[in-house]
Amino acid sequence: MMRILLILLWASLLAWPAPGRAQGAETDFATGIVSLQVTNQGYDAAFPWNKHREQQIAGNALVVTGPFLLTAADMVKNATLILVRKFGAYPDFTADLVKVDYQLNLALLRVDDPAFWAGLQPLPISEQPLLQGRFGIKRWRHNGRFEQGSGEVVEYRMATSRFGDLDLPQLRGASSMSGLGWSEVLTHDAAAIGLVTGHNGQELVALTGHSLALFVKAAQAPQQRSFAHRGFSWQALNSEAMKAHFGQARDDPGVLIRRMYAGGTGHRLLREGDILKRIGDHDIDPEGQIRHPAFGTVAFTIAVNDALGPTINVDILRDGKPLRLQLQRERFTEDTYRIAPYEFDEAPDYQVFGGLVVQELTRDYLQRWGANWRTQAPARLLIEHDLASLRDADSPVEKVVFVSRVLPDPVNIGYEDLRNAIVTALNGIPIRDLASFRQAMDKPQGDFHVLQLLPGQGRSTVVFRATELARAGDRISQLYGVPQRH
Amino acid sequence: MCPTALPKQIGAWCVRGMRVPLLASLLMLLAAAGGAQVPGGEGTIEQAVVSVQVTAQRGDWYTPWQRRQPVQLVGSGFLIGKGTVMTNAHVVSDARQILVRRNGDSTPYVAHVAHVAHDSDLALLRVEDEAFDIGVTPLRLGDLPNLRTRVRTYGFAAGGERISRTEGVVSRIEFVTYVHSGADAHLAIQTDSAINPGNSGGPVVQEGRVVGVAFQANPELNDVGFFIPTTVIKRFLQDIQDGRYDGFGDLGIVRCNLLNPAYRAFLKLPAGRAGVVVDQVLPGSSADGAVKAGDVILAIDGHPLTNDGNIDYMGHTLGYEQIAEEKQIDDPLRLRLWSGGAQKEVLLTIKPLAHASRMRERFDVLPRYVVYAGLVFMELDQEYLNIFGNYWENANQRLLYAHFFQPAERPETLDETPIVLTRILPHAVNRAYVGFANSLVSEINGMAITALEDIPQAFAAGGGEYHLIKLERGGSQLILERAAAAQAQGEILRQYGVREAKRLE
Repeated sequence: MMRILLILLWASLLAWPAPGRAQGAETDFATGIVSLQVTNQGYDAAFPWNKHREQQIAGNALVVTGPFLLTAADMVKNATLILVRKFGAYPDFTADLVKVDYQLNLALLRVDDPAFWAGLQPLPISEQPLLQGRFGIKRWRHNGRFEQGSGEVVEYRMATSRFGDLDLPQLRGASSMSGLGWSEVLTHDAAAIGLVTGHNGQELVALTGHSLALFVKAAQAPQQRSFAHRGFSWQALNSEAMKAHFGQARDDPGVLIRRMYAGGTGHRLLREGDILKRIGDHDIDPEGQIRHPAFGTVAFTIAVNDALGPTINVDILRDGKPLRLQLQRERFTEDTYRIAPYEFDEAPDYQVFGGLVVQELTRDYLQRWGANWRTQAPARLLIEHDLASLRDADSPVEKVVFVSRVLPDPVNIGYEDLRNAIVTALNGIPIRDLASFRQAMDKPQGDFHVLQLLPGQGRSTVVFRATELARAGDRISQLYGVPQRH
Repeated sequence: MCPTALPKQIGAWCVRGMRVPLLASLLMLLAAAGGAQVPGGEGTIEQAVVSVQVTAQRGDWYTPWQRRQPVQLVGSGFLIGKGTVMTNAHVVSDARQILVRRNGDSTPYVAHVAHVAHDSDLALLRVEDEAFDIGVTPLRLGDLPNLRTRVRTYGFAAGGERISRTEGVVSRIEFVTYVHSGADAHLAIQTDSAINPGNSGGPVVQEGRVVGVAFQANPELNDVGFFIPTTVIKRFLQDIQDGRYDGFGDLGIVRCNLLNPAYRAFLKLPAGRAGVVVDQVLPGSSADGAVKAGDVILAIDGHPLTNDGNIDYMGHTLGYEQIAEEKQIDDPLRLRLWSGGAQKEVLLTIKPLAHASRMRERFDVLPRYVVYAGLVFMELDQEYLNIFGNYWENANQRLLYAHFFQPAERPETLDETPIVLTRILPHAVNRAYVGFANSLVSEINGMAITALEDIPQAFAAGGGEYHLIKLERGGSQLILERAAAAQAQGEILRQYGVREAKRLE
């Protein structure tokens, strides 16, 4: 009996009736947050001509000025239908994407039916982080209940975005609420201060109001640039010996620039060996920290996306000489990546070649090995992902092309065991992507196609007779139900 | 599938018993040598089987200047000559003391390792005390048993006090990875005779003759044990005839099947000829200079190959590597090749693979290292990766690449030993670098680091004010003030109990 009473009491604390049925300030949140129900259907990275079963997920979105709805991009990836519901009650409205930024993990939605917006109010977004103390957590459940809980700030830290290597401040919090991670809204006073993007036990992680506000501004003003990537890696200069070696006094600011990527902010103007001393208005301490007016002591990388301006000034020391540079805030392009960090909303490309399924490596493919993919996925592919998913500034544009599997057929007898083997050349032509692979398919070596694979993966040469390959293409396509691509 | 140097998978395990109390009773001597016992009879065999009790102590690859705690283990063995016991290498590896006892005899006799072959998991022990084997007839070696014939396994399963005997059928003869070294594959025989911890080193007998030495099992399969066949044992005994074990050579050939007709046509291989195609030849190996990628191996020492690389060997279908397996270092070996559209014969000289030792588990050696200014440098080898436990795949990806993939992808670097900055013993002089452990070292003071011996030389080189250490991890640099590093060295060694700053022998 006691247990039942406790549950009822708990439910009464969490459940909040829809507007019109209750009074009080808290109802403002219920008019600024709506529930989402998304049907999604992604492609199978390992059988890229197939789609997974469709599935439905439920989450939340924030009403923002426009009016638009703001939610995590994770909620709407591979979406085939997005339904929104206000006040936890019938009817549902259809929503469409205005802008989705998977690398940032945010999406802006619109609902064209004016009836949807009646009674809803944009919830202000606070760019000022709550550095300590308790915050509210608000969400709609699919049973139509509006739940309110709370959590406590653990810390703010710079983290890499879930899908795309953006440096973003991330709120880590603690909460006893269960089932978080579906774009629940974090609040403080009368404003939103974050969207929950992940949850593990009693720990949640959230995108901060700072990122939400910048994204909304950028999404509604096409002339505004969106978030930018850092185009270099760096090393702390926190050893007196290192500082002295580079002609720095112990208390001089600055970090060492190391590797330049083929894209991103600074990749054109900075050089390996530069000492980056100041970014924007901030001196960079030898461990890479700055004093940020909102976030306090935080990694200098926050400054790359601190504002939406097209450029940012940096002060560097190059060969002992001070230099001021104006860096374009730049985003990685598709060519920056050797391995795509995600592949949503479109079918992965592939080529079936004599029954060998040839693909460009993506993180999605590696994640097929489940939650422990970082140790369970094929070792050589993982090494490629972990060490070289980003292209270096001076390296040619290329993707990691590999044979994922073999669809057995008489034409490929003897090669059936090939799995996850990286391709280096076809018919003597170096392979840099699927396009170059297809071009090489048109240039057999006499009567034969000769495929070269990285040594140490089972076999490094595969040979087909060109005439047999052409015949086998139709046969394999029909036998295994694989649409031909070439 | 072509053989590859991929990491060994968990799935097989060595049979190595725990220490248990031994029976304090004497086995009655049933017969003197050549007496009433029927040679090869049950009594003769059981008399010749011994338990081997070992106190072992390994080096510590995490703290290389220390040794691990001694452990006690029990295995089995059998007499193959006067005062000579054969057992597994893994039973006596890193032994500090070895005691052997005959079945039912409470008297322990001190033994020492006369020869050990870690690559084939065999060892010969010598017992100096003449009383040890009075009246015992050493066991004699037989040949490869036929498939589906019965064998008996003798030993001290689970370290028991009494000999155990189990029976089974020979179910498969093939190349398998020998788990003891983890990097060597030799012929092994699979049987459903129960082979349990403690059986290691015990004889497997058929018709009164030893046809193998029990050595490993596969816990994922029910009632499946493996024993080392006499082809491997006899090669070992032949190898040590000169008083030294030289080990196995290796052709240095990565080969692939030629089952695909288009591939055979591409190589212009005439109809009716069969063989395997050479995928890669490792530099400095037996085949280097005589064989090249794209050649087809048609026959080995007169044994014709099938398109999947098998030969007929004493009535058994085995991989052609079996012929090379029987060779000693510096032995000749003849290959018939299809090369460039014509047939030719080449004569190879069998050599060991230069980098093979770092791919193996290491025994009877202590780890090599250099400590300078709190930076601990070691060679990248399998033992070093083992410090990550059963999850060594969690190690830094650069280490995994250098160890497992670089030999095939960049064979020109085979004679270079990757050096790892394994630990940083924190001190004021190195306090900024603690996060750089488990990184490959590429250069110190401008000197390329390709061997552990380079480290002391590199730190001694140059006269600048700083030591500059370049790591491969994203090109990070560590810089130490030369004078401060030298001054800190003694203090760090004392503070962290490092008795010697280096071990390079």
